[in-house]
Amino acid sequence: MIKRSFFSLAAPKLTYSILTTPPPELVDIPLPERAQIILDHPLNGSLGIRVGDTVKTGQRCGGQEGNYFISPITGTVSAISGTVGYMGKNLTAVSFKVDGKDTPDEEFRNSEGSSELERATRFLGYLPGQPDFGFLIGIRDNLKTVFVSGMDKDLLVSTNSVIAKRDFEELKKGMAIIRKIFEKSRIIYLLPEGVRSGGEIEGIEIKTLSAVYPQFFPKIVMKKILAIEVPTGIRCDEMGAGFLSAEAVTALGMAFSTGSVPLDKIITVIKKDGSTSFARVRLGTPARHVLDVLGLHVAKGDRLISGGPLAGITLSSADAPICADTDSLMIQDAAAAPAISDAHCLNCGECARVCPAHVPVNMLIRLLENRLYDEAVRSFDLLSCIDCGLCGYVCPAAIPIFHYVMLGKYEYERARSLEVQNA
Amino acid sequence: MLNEQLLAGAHAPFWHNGDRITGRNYNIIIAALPAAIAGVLFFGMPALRVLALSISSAMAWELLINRLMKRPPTISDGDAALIGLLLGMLLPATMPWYAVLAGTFVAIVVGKMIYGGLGCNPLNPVLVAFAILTLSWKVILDYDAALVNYEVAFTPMYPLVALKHFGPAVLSKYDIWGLLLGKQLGGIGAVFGLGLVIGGCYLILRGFIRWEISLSFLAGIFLAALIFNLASPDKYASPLFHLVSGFSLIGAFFLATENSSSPVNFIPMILYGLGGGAMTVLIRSIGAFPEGVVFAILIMNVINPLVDKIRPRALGRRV
Repeated sequence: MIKRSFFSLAAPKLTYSILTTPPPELVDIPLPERAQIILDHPLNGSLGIRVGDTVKTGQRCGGQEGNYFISPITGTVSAISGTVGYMGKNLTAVSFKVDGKDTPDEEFRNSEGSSELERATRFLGYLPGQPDFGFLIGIRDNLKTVFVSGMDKDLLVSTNSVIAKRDFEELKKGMAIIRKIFEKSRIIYLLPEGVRSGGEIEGIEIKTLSAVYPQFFPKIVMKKILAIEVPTGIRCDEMGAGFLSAEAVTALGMAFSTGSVPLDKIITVIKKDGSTSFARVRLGTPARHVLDVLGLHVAKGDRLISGGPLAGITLSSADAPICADTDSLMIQDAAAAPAISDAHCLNCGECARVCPAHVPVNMLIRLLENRLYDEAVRSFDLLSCIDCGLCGYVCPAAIPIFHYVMLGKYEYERARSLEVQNA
Repeated sequence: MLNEQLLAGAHAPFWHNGDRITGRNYNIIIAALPAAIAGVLFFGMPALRVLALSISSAMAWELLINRLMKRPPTISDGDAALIGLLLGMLLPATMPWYAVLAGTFVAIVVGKMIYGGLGCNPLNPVLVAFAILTLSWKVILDYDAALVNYEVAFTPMYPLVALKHFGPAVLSKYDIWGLLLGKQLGGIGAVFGLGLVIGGCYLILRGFIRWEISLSFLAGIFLAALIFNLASPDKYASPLFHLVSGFSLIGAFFLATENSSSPVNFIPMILYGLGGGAMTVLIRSIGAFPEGVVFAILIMNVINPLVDKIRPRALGRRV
């Protein structure tokens, strides 16, 4: 945990982890006995498969355009159920009993005659590192700029930087395909200052940003690189910018060079002592299996976090699967968890000064504590928040500010959708 | 077995920079100690008596209110002790016990706890208490009368009162360096300016107070005093004299910077500081009181919520 420095006249500067050493070894995690994938939509209508069906590795399941998924393993569908994700999102979980070895599905390989765009649209909508790739392909004509980020979302996480360094040739191939698919867009490869790309990539611009958290958050990137400020309540893609991770682009390159749908994900495992190791995992593998293979143990009261220390999400169970966007697993010891308190804000203003979006957090927290969400949005810029978590990191009163902010956003959205329904 | 694997759920962030209210308050107390200890050395045991009574009674009042309100005790956060210490530092060493008790009662109960405790007070509790004491016991708080039995090697007259009654001509009896080193009558912890500056610099470097407020407060005093002085040197004292006398330095580093009643954004901090400094000189030069820091900061506390609305535009905010 990075503490405040003794002299701290200016706001804290937390830097992303930049690899200076050669890329580390990857631990290959063997196939688990059970797997589960989480689909980004509520359980309604048919998924095109039923409990008891057998599937092959890389098999495209489900029918309609865009509404499909790729089976990550060979085995039997053991359960299909609805589940709830972060911010109350309704999702679908499909569980599998895994056969001991992979039997690859050949449909993608056999589609070689079609164009890259057709093949990517039909099979590669859910790339490791980029579960919304299919969505971005769908809106490609609106995207003036596509960013490929060689930096990770959170501190201590190095998944994308490891891949960008280790698999540069595949990344380059992926970039070439991205160039073709997003033919009208400007494509920018983002790197932290001080990190060199493995070489020139044709048709791709390379831009650097300082490695200070949260410079690589999409809205900050848009402001710094494109000088476009995304208005509150609007997504980056609506302003014409798409964001891809280096991992997804590398996976895309591999898909076309190997002829099989990429189903392996590289994750950073952050241990209790803050050290990291890297593992190659099949999508859908339960987190517990990864930890077992790496010889790591979680005890009662520990936290298992998907993501990093500032903006990750705790998993309620070690059985939760590794999803396409699980870039890291972090284990935090029960004793290392910082205490939160119900103390009142003392108005020191640390949060407001550290906020990269200039949200008046010291005022906002007073409204959020009193559930005045409408006014929080109207007068105190709740929706300008970019979800970086720095406010909670610096609060001397140990108020769970980030939690309040996300609850505020959730409640505001819920009230608004109810209004729309009842209108 | 199942219980063994029960994971804890929480919301991000899972890190904290380790800065806590308690640590902040204790650091401010430590920073105030050089001036407070110097005060005890100048004024002897009576000064120590006032400080001890002030700190302990402030903590006792807070604990009492915690009990009455059936809230968990909050005195361990160090804020009550800090309020007690700062109030004690403003008082003369001969302050009678009942006036000290009344002062801490006003500071803790009326100034802070009735609003909900730490962080909820609209005005600086120390200054609320000092203002009430000023209005209640004029003679007790008259430093010249209070400290009349002290034999000192320097001009035995509270500099600001001297200025008020005799004009700047009397100031030839004081030298700036002497005033800074504590060769003046005044509050226990307010006379040793150098100690206050050292403590203030420590707090600024550690990030526990906001340099914008302290420096702009001093700049406000300097500029306003300079204008008066240039307009009429015979009637108004030099800006340096204003900076090192009375509560100027303790005000700049320890009173104006109180979190709850001061702004957090850059421009408001500058306005708040400049306004407080200028108001101080206005009260001293053309107001009814010889000392202006207390009321100047209280007035700026009242304006604080308004000026703090001047803030940078949030990301993506449509104008």
